[in-house]
Parts: sequence; C-alpha cells; structure tokens
Amino acid sequence: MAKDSMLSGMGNLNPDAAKMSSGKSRISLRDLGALLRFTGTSKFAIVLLILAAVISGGLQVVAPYFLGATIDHMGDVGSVDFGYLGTRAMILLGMYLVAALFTWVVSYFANVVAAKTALEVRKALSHKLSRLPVSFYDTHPQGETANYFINDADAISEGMLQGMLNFFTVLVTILGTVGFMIFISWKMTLIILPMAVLMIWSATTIAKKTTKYFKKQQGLVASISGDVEENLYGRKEIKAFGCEEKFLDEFGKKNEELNEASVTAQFASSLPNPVTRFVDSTTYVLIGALGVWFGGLTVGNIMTFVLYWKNFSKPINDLTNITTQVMAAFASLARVFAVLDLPEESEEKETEEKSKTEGKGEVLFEHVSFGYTKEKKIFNDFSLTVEPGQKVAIIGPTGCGKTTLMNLLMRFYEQDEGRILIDGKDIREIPRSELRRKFGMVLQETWLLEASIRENIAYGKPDASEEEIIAAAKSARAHGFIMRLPNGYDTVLGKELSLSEGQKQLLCIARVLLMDPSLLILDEATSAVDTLTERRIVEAFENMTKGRTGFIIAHRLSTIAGADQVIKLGAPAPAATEKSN
Amino acid sequence: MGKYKHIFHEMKDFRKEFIIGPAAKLFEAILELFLPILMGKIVDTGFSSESRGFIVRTALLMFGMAAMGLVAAAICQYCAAKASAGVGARLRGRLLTHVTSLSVAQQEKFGVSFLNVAMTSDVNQVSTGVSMFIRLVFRVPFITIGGVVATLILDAPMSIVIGVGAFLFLVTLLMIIRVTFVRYRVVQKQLDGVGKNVNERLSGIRVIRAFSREKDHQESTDRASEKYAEETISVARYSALLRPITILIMNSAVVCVLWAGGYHINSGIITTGMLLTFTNYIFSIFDELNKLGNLVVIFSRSFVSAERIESVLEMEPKRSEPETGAEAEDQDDKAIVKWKDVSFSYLSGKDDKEEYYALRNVSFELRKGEKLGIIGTTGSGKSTIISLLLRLYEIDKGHIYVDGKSIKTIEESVLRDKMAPVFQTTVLFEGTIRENLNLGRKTPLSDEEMQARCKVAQAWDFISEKGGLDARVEPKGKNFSGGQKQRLSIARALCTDSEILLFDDATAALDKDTSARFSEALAEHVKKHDRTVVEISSKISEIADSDWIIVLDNGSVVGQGKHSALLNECEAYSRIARSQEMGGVE
Repeated sequence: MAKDSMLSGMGNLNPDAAKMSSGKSRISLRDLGALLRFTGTSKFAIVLLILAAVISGGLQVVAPYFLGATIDHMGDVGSVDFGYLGTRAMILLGMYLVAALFTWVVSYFANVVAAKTALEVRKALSHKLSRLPVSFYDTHPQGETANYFINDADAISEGMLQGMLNFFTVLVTILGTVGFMIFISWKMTLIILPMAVLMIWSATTIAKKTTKYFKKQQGLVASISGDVEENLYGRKEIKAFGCEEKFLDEFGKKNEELNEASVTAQFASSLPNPVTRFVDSTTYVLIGALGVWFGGLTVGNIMTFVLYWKNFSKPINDLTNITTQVMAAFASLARVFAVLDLPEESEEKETEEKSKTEGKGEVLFEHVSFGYTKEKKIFNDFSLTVEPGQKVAIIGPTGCGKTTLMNLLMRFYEQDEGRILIDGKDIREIPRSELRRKFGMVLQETWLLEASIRENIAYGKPDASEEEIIAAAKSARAHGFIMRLPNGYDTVLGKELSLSEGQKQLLCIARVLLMDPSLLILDEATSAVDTLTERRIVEAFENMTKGRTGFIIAHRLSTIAGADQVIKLGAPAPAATEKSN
Repeated sequence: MGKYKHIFHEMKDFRKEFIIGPAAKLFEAILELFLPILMGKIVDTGFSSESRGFIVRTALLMFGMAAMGLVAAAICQYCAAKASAGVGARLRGRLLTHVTSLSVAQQEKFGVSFLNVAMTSDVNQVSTGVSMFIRLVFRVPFITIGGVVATLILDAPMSIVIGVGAFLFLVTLLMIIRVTFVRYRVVQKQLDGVGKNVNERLSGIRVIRAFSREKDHQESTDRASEKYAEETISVARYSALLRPITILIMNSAVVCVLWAGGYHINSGIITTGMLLTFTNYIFSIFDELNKLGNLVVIFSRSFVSAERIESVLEMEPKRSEPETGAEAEDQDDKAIVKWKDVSFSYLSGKDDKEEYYALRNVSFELRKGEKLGIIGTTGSGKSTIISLLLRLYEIDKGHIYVDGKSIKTIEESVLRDKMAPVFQTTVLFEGTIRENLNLGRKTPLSDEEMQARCKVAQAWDFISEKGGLDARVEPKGKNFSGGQKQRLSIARALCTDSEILLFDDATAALDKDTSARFSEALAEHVKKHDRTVVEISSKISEIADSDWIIVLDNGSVVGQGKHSALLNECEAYSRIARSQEMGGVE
C-alpha cells in the first residue's frame, strides 16, 4: 500500500499519468479473459479476496447506520443509558475489527495475485523468447523487448492490484450505501447523489482539460531531456569547437518555455483537489442544514449520512488514479499479447540422442534464393559446393548481407527457395539444436556471460572437464593471458575486470574449440581489434580451421588470405570465384 | 542549511511564493476548522420556525467559507506551481551551465549517466518537493494540531482521545512506510536483476541459439522473475497492513468519542451535535496525517536528489595555475606544436598513478604546414594525444607548447580555435547539416565554400542526395550511416578556419576507394589553405606519407621518424607493417 500511496501523492507531477489518460484504450471482455489466463494458480485467492471484499464493504455500510442509531437511542442529558451505550460501542468496535481483518485479506491477497500474475506474464514471455525466430530480435530494438519484461509486466500487476483492491469493495459499498440512504431518507438521497455526480464530473472535467497542458509540458520535457543528453554526449565536440555559449543559449530559451508550460500544467493539475474539497464541504453543509430543515433527520441520521458521504467521496477522489493505472495495465497487456501471439520457430522433434557431430563437413547450396524483404533478394538462385575442409571467404561492402549466409546455414532464417545440404542432408530435416551444434560460430561482437572464464569457455558443453577447458584455451592462444588474471580460470568477467576486445575474442574462439565442431563460421571476428591483436586471433583461427570446413566473413583482406573460394556479395546475384591466391 | 546552499540560492527569488502560498493554505485550513463547529450548532438547534433564520444564515456562512477556502487554495496552488516550475528551470539551467564549465576529466568523474539523471529526474524530484512543501507542509500540522486544540476548547478529555488516536495513527503509518520503503529497494534490485538477465539474453541471442542453451537462459530468467515475485509478496506482508490498521485506529477513535461522549452528554458538558463535530475533526485530522505519509516519501526522495545536485554544483571548475617565466615560452619559431616529456594518467588523484600512465614522457615537434602521423596498437595512447592538445585534460608532467607558448598560458577558447578535431566516435547534433558544419565558426561559411569543403570530405554526394545543406540531422545523426557520419564530421573540421586539423582514425568507417579519394583531396586542400595535420591511424597506409611519424606502444614513444627510416629502425613499426602487408595485397 505504501507504494500506491507514493504514486498517488505524485500524481500531479507524474508525466505518465497524463500520457496514459490521453490514450484511448477500452477494456474489453476479451482482455479480461486474457488476463485470467495468467491468474491460473491464484483462482482460490481471487475467490477469497472477493468474499473478503464483500464482507468489509458490507460492514462499511452497516457500521455508520449502527453508529447513528446508537446516538439517537442512548438518551440525553441525565438520561444516558450507559449499559446500552457500552454494549453498542463494543459491537461497533467488533465490526470495525472484522472490517479491518477483511480489508487486510483483500490487500494481502490482491498483492499476492498481482505479483503472481506478473510472474506468469514474465514466464510466458521468457518461454516465448526461446521460441521466437531470430528475425524478431533483428527487427525489434532490445530496449523495447526488455521493456515488456520490466515495465509492462509491472504495469499489469499494478493495474490488477488497484482493480482488485478497489473494485469489489467499492461496488458493494456504493450499492449498499445508496440502499441504506434511501431507507433512511429518500429526500436526502436525492440531494446527495447529484453532489456525488457533480464531484465526479468536476474532477474528470478538470483532468481532461489539463491533459493538453500536460502534453505540451511533456513535449518540452522530452525535448529538453534530449538536449541534456546531446550536451553530455557531444561534450568533447562542444568544447573542442568552442560552441558552449551557442548550446547554452538554445537550452536557456527552451528551459524558459518549459518553465512557463510547467506553471500552467502544474497549476491546472493541482486544481481538482481544492475543487473536490469545496464540493465536499458544500455537501456537508447541505446534509446538516437540509437534514435539519426537512425535519426528517435526527442527529444520528446526520452522522450516518456524513459517514456515507465519506463512502462516496473517497473512491471518487481515487478514481482518476485508479483508472489511469488500470488503463495502463490494459495497454501493457495488449503489448505483451502482441508478442505472445507472434509465430514461433516451427516445432520439431528433438532427436532422442544428441548425435555426435560426425560427418565431414560438406556443404551444398542448391538454387537458394533469399531476401529479408520480398523486394530485395540477397541470394538469387545461388548454388555453391564446399568440399570438406575447404575455406570459403565472403566479402562485400557493409550492409550487403554478408551475415546472411550464416543466418541461413544455422537456420536463424529459412531460405525462400532451394535447398541447403550438409553432408548430404537437407538442413530443414535436421533439428535446429543438432544442426547448430555442428557449427562453431565466432562473431564480431563478443558476447560473454557475467560468469567465470571457466563457465564461459564451457558454455556449449557445461560438463566439460578441466583438461578439456584448458586444452581449448591453449589452442585458442588464451591460456597465457587467463593465467595472468587474478583468479585464473575462476576470474569472473564483468564484475572483477573487463577484458580487451581481443582477449574476449580469444575466449569466444576457445568456447567454440571446446565444442569441436565440423564447420566454422567466422563473422568479421577481427574487425574490432587492431592489426597486431588480429595476428594472434588469425593464428588461433588457423589452428582452428585445420581439417574443418570454414566460412569466413570479412572486409579485411588479410583475414581471408588462403581461402579456397571467394564469394563477393553486393551485386544482385553473388558470383562465386575459385581460389583467391 | 549549508548542505543545500546552491538549491536554496535558487529558491531565493521565489520568497514571495514561499510566503503567500502557505499563508493562503493556512487561511483555508482555518476556515475548514470552523465548519464542524458550525455544523454541530445547526444540528443541535434542530428545526423550528424560530431557528429557520439561524439555519439559513449559518448554512450560507459555511458555504461562503468553503468558497473562500477554494479561492485561497487556488492561490496557494498557483504559488506552488510557479515556485516549483521556476526552481526546477533555474536548477536545470544552472546545472547545465555548470557542467559545461567543468573539464572533461571532471565530467567523467561523475559519469555521463549520473549527470544526465541529475539534470533531469533529480531536478524534477526537487521541484516536486518544492511544490509539496508549499502545498502541504503547513496545512498538515495545522489541521492536525488545530483539530486537537479546537476539541480541547470544546471538551478537554475528548481532545486526549483524539490526540492519542492521531499519535498512534502517525506512528503506525511511519513505521510501516519505513519498513516497506527499505524493502522496496531490495525489490527494485530484484527487478534490475530481471532486466539484466533479459538484456543478456537479448544481446546474445545468436550465440545462445548456436550453442542451444535457450532452456538454461529461460530458466534463469524465470528464477530471477520468481525471486522478484517472492520479494514483492514479502513486502506486501507489511504494506497490506497499512490500510486496515490505520482505518481501524481511526474508527476506534470514533467509537471512543461516542462512548466517552455518552458520559459528557449525560452530565451536560456537550450536546449530541458536538459528537458530529468531533467525528468530523477525526476525519480531517486522519486525512491530513495520511498525506503526511506521502510527504515523508516525497521529501526523502527530494533530499536524495538534492544531494546529488549539490554534489555536481559543489565541484569547482578546475584549472592548473598558468605557468610563468622561462617554462611558459619555448623559442622555436618553426614548431607550431611542441611536446616536452609529457606524461598523463586518466586516474587523477591516485597515488600510484605512474603505473597507470596513458602517456609516458612523450616528446615530439610539429612544424607548420607539415603532416604528423601517429600509429600504434589499440590502447597505446594515440587518442589521448588529441585530447591533451585540445586541453580536454590536464597533463600531469611535462609541457605542451603551441606557437611557442605553454598551452596553460593560452586562453582555452583561443587554443581550441586553433585546432579542429575529428574524433574517433562521431558525434553530430540535431539540426541541419549547415548548422552542424558551422559548429566551430563564429560567422557562417558561404554555401560555395561549404560545398567545396564537403567535396574534399567526400560528403557532397550524399548531402545533395539528402536535400542539400538544409537537410535535417536527427539526434545523434541517426539518419546517416556510420561512414556518412564520419565524412560529415570530417567536413565539420574542414569548415573551420583552424590552423591544425586533428584526425583520430577518421577514415575507419570508409571503404578503401573513398578513403583514397579523400586523402588526395585533403592533401590539396591542406596546401591551399596552409593547414597543419595530425593524423592518428592504426593503418600504416594512412600515415606513410607523413612528414614525421610517431610510433606509440603502451603510452611510450618507441620510435619516430620518416616511414622509410622507421621500417628499418623501429621494430614495433616494422611489426605493424608486416601484419598489414597481407592486407595490402589485393
């Protein structure tokens, strides 16, 4: 609860609130059904929660009536019935105690259900991530995808929490309150209900009116944040070209504009509080004055009505915050479902045995056509024969799709037409995991875990022995520098130290060597290092490619010297040429 | 107070708002405190033909008070908005000005992301704090204490009931907030763990798939998510207590008032109508105390942010003392740049910094109109030379002379005006191409001249393709490819009037043909405009034609001279040359 009160306290300055309330999203039954998919394990908790909400909501209606009745019947000066008063006070206290208990049940289980729902959403996403094709990752910015896990899952849970905390209790309370009010005095009910409507109306109208100021402020905030970022990011340039003043002037102007917009936006957004307070006070006056005026109401009745009015005004005041969060939750839910509904990589039967990477490494491309988009084909009726042990170099300018060959070979992408055969077998008939195990892949970007060097080398073979790991490191020319590290093979990367790009690459090579693959793919593996480091990597390569079929993607000619075939990409159809030297 | 002196300084101009705002709020609160008393009076009077006038008058009075309260509140909210937005804007402006005045080394001490947070979200947090201060800091205690005092006047023992209730309420509230606030940090950490885990998975997708380790990563994400869920639920154990307990305390206070009220009604101390008055006080007091919970959270965040902002503003822009006397000048009219035993470490303040020198005893000379080539492996300190020339960092030992004067005696703007750099990582600014190219100029360059220089940089073709000099450059230049960005940044340097051009691996992203065309055009341009060039590269072919070459290894100069001489004499140079010869064969 502390969390949501923190949020509501900052509602006025919370930019997201304004952004969200402007977005039109409607809750549909389909979405609600979808949400239930994730609450699987907590159905019991939800039933309990609803039950508790009904009881605590009901007591919020009964208690004020009971209190009012007590005031009216306890007597007056000199005639107060203390026995009656004492009993009634104890009963009332008991009611409040029970109400508190059930409010706690609602609060706690709402939190539990919300947290578990978020967990289920995250698990579903996590499961999905393992099955989405690589093309998803190539076309979706990483930050966006990570955001589903972090913010969207949390928004769903926060919205559920608010919904569950309030919906059932408020529903019971409001229905019950209206019923009891009519029972006591229908005339007063007729006066109070319009005031409730007025309160809702004034709060929502102001909120709506302020949206446009908020949007303006938000736009400027975003633009100013961009400026701040640019100033920091280009700080060397700004100093070197001596244009500090120019940037500060520009920033100053925008900052002043933001200042003005913020005053309006903040002022407008802080108005609902006093306005609802005013409606609130006016209603009290009406209850008191008209209650007495109409003659129908006793002191106890008025007390009851005052408490009932509280039952109305509290949820109304919270209304905007809660709807904002619930709406945000549904918007997030829609985003999450958009991902969960994406097509997955085709299912395939896992082979019972992890068949050893046998085979000699013969590769055949038969009339292969492929393009990332329909309009632009990278390969068009492309055929290639690679004998076991041959080295194939792929060259071409940046952006021509050199990595495409790797993408196809490892089935990160599937060709549009034609066949690719490895050792005589169509790769589409080989389970992906088995196919990929045949390949050793070294990419330009070195990706290592935040784990020990040992774990990193054994990444593809977690049960590798110490000897195997050291042997792989040795033939990757990495053993030497590893032994010079503070904890040798137990040195944890990332936390304890960061390695140079060249050293990381050598670890990636060791990682591949441990797998003893029959085919190798080296994708621009040396373009991030200088030529001397490159020499060492090339040495490790040469060691590695002995007796293996290798595909080498490079833009530096030095790396591809000695290739058996060279494929130049960039032209509409790649031309294969034999022998580079 | 001194701790937040810079922030308080920015508040000074809003003294008016800081007085009027809370005063208006106080006025509203006073009016609010009268309402329950008047209400009690109406109820006690009861309806009769004589009391009709009294009821109407009292009701109108109450309505009028509520209306005045609304006006007062609106005034306060306006003051709060003005002060909070104003303080925010001033802090932002001051921070950016200050950060700009800091040296690059000082900026790096904070880290770019820290400065970014300080200038954006920290400023917003302080601004929220200001607004809440004006709106609530006086209202909350006033209504609370005022409510208790009003009861004290009406019925002293009753005020004890309300006072004790309020105290219990406050203590419970703060305790629960305290407990949960600490735990939320743990929760936040778990969430960061989930994020880190997912990001690792996303960035390594190809490797993960290649090694068929999807399942393990999926399980580890699930574990992280489970931990987060568990932690959230464990916090809920405490946070779920807040609402029920506080409401229970409030309702118990109402019951106590009712019960004690019975005795006082019996003895005629109070009327039944006053029960209503007391109950209303309880409600308004507890309402305000509830806000106090928020206030505590907001203020504690504001103070954390304020400290971060202060830490930035505290740092004085540092400059070494200007050198005077013999050391300040170096009479050698031919050398435009001269380095004498320069050593430098990025780790300023470390005792054992000699071990970490990025450059060690570097000496060389550069003559007007010549080209200096600098070569070495990654991490050998090549780029540092440019940073030091521009005085982005202060050297630790030795002297750098430009035009015979120590750079410590030259005005920074004059020094930087003399040089135009092309850094290794290209930074373009949002705006038009023209604005970007005019960056280092006081007066804009003519279109013809700009076009000519863009042609030297091999940039004109794509500029005209994009729509000419007025084409947009998006933030970080993301509408240009790496090679295009690099050519634009070369053009930017060429468009200045600076005497010395500094190239740091400036052609790394260009293909061989383009890079060759550029070299040729540059040579011509340099001759025509009488410019001096420093070129850093890891490729021998780029610097072989230099008038002088420095070979750097691990921060030290291991050889200098002309290409042909170095090939024979310098082991490091010939090693690099050998490693690149394979690439030279085409």
